[in-house]
Amino acid sequence: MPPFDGAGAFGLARYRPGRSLLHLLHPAAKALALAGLLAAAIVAPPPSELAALFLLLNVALLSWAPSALPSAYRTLLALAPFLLLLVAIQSVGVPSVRWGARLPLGPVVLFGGELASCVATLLRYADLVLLLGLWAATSRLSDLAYATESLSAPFARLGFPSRAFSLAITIALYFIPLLGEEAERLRKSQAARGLDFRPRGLGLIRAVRAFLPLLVPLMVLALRHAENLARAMEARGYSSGGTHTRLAVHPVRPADVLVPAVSLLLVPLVLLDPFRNVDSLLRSLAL
Amino acid sequence: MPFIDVVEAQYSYPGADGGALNGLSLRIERGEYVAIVGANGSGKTTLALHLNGLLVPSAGRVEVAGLDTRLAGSLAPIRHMVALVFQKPEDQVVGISVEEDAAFGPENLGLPRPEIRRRVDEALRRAGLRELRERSPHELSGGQKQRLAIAGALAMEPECLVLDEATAMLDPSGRSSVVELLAELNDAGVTLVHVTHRMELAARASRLVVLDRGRVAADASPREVFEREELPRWGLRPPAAFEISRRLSARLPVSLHLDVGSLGRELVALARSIPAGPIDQASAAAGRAARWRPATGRPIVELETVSHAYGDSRGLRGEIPSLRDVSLAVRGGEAIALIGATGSGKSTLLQHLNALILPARGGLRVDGVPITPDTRDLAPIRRRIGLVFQSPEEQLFEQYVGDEIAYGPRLQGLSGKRLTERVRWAMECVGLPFEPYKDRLTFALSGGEQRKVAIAGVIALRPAVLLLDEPTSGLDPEGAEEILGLLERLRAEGTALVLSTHEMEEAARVADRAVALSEGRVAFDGAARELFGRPEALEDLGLEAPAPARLLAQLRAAGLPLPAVALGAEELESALMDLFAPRAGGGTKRGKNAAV
Amino acid sequence: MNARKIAVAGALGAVAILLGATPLGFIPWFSGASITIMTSPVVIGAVIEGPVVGLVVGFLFGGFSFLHAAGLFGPVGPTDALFLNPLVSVLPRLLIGPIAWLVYRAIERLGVPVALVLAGIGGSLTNTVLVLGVIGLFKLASWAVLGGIAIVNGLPEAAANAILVLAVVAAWKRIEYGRRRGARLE
Ligand SMILES: Nc1ncnc2c1ncn2[C@@H]1O[C@H](COP(=O)(O)OP(=O)(O)OP(=O)(O)O)[C@@H](O)[C@H]1O
Ligand SMILES: [Mg+2]
Repeated sequence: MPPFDGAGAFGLARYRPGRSLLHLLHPAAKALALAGLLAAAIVAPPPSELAALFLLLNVALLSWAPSALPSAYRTLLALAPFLLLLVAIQSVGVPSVRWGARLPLGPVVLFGGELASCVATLLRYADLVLLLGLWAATSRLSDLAYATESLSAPFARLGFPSRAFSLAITIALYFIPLLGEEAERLRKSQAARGLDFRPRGLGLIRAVRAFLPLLVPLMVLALRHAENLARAMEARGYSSGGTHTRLAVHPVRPADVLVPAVSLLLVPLVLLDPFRNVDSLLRSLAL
Repeated sequence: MPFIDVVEAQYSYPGADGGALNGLSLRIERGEYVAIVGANGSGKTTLALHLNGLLVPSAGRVEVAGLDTRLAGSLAPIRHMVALVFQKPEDQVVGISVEEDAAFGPENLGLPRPEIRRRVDEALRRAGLRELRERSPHELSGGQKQRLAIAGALAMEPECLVLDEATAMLDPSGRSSVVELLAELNDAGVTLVHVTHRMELAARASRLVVLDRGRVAADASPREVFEREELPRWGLRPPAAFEISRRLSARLPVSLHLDVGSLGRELVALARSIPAGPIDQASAAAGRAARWRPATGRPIVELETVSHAYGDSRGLRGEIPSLRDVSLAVRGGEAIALIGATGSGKSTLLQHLNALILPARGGLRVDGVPITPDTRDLAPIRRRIGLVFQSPEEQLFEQYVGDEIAYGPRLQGLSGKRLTERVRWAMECVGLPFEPYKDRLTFALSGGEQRKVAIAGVIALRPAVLLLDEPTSGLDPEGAEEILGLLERLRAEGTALVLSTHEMEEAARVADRAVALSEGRVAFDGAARELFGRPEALEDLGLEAPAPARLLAQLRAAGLPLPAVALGAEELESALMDLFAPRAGGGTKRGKNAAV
Repeated sequence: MNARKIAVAGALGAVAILLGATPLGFIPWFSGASITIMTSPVVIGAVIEGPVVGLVVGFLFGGFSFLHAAGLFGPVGPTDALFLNPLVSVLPRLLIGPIAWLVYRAIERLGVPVALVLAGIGGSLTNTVLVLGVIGLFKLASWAVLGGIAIVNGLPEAAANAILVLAVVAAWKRIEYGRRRGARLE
């Protein structure tokens, strides 16, 4: 069994240091923009808009975080078999997309509409992967906690535990490598007692029991760490619902308003489908 | 009005049988330096948690500067005044960076930003972490993390700092840097309450409070407390210098000392004051010491020029070499102390010795057979060479003690009567009687008992070599003593031992061979007494020689003709008597002299 | 949320993520199949500290599996594509904790060990049914296939989670369970 290197898998997973517009954007603004674009990509039906976004994302990645591009495409390649299966189920032979010219592709004959639908699905997933890749390349994991706190701060007045929530994220991020090391230590100390993780026979209970020497102490340790940490937090004056200030405050600049605004506007825009004409042009071409 | 006033406080944890505090009373004035000691489970941590209202007494009361901790409104000001630092530094981190972590307390106080900045800067400067401010706490060493925890408390600018074994996880050099910081703070007027198992540290306080079963058993100056004969009953033993000076004071006119330095100075003065008689230096140095001869016979496990590098998990730097060209052979019946500063590679070396890590470069042989990645089944090797990890109680998982210990032997294929016998033997070996303990719930045992269960779980495999990583860390002096006794028994039965430790007294007691690591290299391999006879060499390794050896070195440096090494207090005493008895012509038995 | 709830939520969230990111969370069964146990930290959080903690752990777990599907934490497998949709990866996971907590509270008076087992099963089935349900609603796979997965994979998973929840919570709360009291020694 390979080692469980929590820290290796996380830490700075995909962050590429830099000083581009995106790097410097307020974490909350970036998260909002990300949310807007994700929503747009998910609701956008026509391939033309998805293609436009796809181009845009490639340009953005190339100019701001070129080294993140290969890993994004590697991910797409890994997802490809399932995506192809998916379009085969979702787009091929579905009556609603059976329009347009018949295009002979080797042994199969596709309608133009089917092809467009396939392309749209593939582009949608490509957009999602590139979008998240771009975001991750220009954000530290810790920005997640900061973004969560800033975005939920307005709801704190309504009773939403905004700070608690962002603290839980910070703690989780800090605990992942810590527990990864603990897991590795436990794996070794049980191996020293002869544990080999080989399931003995087909029994489900036996297979699970073989893992208990690892999982029970790991989770008990996590709970014990949590208990100690809770005490340390309280000792340093944390109280639920108490007011607090912050040392690190990210300044808000014009771009921090503009970028998410544009991205959030995309959702209604996509729903209105301004490229309708382009798509119908494509349709007519396909005819 | 006392600063902290604990009056008849009682507390029991939900679901626990006995009370953790049973009518405890204690007063602490502003600016005091109080050490709190006591056996495992005597209530030290529980008391510490009461001092700033993290726990509140079910009966009695705790007041800080006149504020009762039971009143909700007083908690914020109390936590502002009394800061707490705990044992495990990694459990106290709440920030994404060193700086943000230090800011957590002031943020909770709702201070304005410039004030937070000032306090964070000041706290980090004091703790010596200014250069590391941008780092993620995960990238700090154990000692640095502990100093970060202290910085986090300092940033609250508390009037009182309570430390609960805050130096337990540190090596000697890390420890002394924290201790210096504490002295500095106390000089600056901060009230200090230091909970510790290390009597040398406790002796630095001006007042020593002993807890026993949730009550104050003694409260006096360290010197007075160490003279009390109930000490062993409280699970304590005096610091080494005190024990040595007490032994000597029965035969020489020396007073009782708490640290080696001052005892040494008095002895030097004493030697100068007595006209020198004819001294047979050779006889003083010779004899006595049983000569150590390297063990012979076939090695059970051998490492040959092994190097190892951990891939840097944080992806920041390249590979971190942790072992470089290490060669080591362990023979039957040997006892080896593996010493070195934190990060010197001790744990990595131990894991190589039982094939948990297979050498990337170099060779490993067990009973003469080379072990390679192709070796099919490593389990028999790991049974022959048992490894007890640090804090092994954390690896427990079975409901019942008996099953926990039987786990390894069961995997080995033992069952029925033979299994039961094996478990019984292992339990009795570690001092847990079989019948009453085998059906107890593992998770309901005390920490010390859990550690014994974990050790029993390994020796139940009947290893020929037993490797132990810091087997006594976190135990009270009596608990540590029990583990050491167990190791001595195992050794007498013929089990070879390799133990890694920060405690040189322990190393000197159990082992006759010492292997010192420094930055992954073997810096010394030979007779333990030879190494302990060179305190400067140990210091270079970031370690501290055992007290008798330090004393001898000091006396020899002052020109007294003494042997280079003495491991125990007894050996030291006789060496000193050889020196003094002829000088004073037998008239030294003046009895105890309790000056200073 | 008090400090304790926050810390437990963070720590168990970290466990869930670690289980999802390393081989730890995939118990090999026969013929290469593996059982996932990522829901157990969510259930444990809910049972020990209440539904809100369960919800937060579930959110951390779901958020991770969403980001993971985009390849942000290392290589992905083909079927991860399903989890690129937050409605599949995040939404169902939010409900695991609260439902497990409801089950636990409803059955607690019949005995804590039984309640733990059923909460483990309940939490795991919530995950299976909702994730597969959303996948079905999006027509990402046919209902027949999904039903098959639910039975072949979902049921053993529920059992595995139940065992784990029981073992961990019993150890943490020092509860004795099982018909046999005492070690299995002669
Ligand atoms: N969380 C807990 N639940 C139940 N009992 C506890 C808990 N913590 C401590 N106790 C019990 O309370 C008593 C006092 O424990 P405490 O931790 O205060 O001792 P201590 O002096 O700090 O020990 P150590 O030297 O091991 O740190 C012990 O009997 C212990 O078993
Ligand atoms: Mg304690």
